[in-house]
Amino acid sequence: MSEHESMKELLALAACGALDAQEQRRLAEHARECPACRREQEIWGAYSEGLRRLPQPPLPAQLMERTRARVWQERATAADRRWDEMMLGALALFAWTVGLTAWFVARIFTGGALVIMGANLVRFGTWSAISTVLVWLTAAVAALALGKRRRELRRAL
Amino acid sequence: MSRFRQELDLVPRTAWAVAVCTWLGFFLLMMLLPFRVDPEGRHWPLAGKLAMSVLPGLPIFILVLLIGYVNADARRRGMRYVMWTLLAIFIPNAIGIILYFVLREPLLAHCTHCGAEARQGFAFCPKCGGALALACPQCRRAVEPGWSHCVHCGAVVREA
Repeated sequence: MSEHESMKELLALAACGALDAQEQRRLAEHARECPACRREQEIWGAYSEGLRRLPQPPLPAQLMERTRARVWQERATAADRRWDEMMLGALALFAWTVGLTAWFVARIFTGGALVIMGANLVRFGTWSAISTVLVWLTAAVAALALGKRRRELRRAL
Repeated sequence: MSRFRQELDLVPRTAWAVAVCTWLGFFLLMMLLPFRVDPEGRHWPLAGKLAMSVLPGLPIFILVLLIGYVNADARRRGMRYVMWTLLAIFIPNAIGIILYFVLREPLLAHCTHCGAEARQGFAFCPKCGGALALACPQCRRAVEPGWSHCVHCGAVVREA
């Protein structure tokens, strides 16, 4: 970005008094030598002056407190969402690890054979099928019950 | 402090103690029983025996910490922490913990006046009455910025 372009970006900020002393000095030096920027600075100055002359509406009551509370909530919610996404990915892997570990330990402790009604429960296929059905059934029942309760709470609010 | 560290600090000391004890118990159980019962296991090198005893206990260790985390986190969010702790314990393969992360409530907001905790969606602080969100002028329930009407009573909402 050239000096002219970077100075041009500061013109609006200068009009509302948002520049520090060093930036103001650099802009003044540039405007002395650049008629286009000088002209634009005058226009921004006129806008700013006109806006200052307009009647200032009173701020809504407790606007600052509400805004602060809202900013805090939104930041916390966004951080929570990112964290939850990461955790859910890691937990999905962890759930598989726990399932495999349980199978491995059961296999070691039973010596590789735990036969009930003709089926070897610690065979990998049987173990996976039973644990998947068991886990999904329990999770589905819990999710339905919790979802129902949540809807009731939301309706009550 | 990183987010991970912050969340780890939530885990109660009791959960750390239980996790360490469970892991130790599991380690001893794995060291003593399978390699004595299994005739092939007796001839394993010590490093193999150690690895086989240390590693299977780690998921259990992490699981206990996660259960502790669910308990503490549900408590700070004003949720039913006993119920969530039980779900985390009894739904197998950590699915209870996954459900917790899917269904957990947002963090409690803090009143900018008195610092008291309030659930998200509250329009006023329950302790000092300070404004937390824009409220409907008629029914005083929280409304979103930009709404022209209250969704609860239909009153016209102006931000001013």
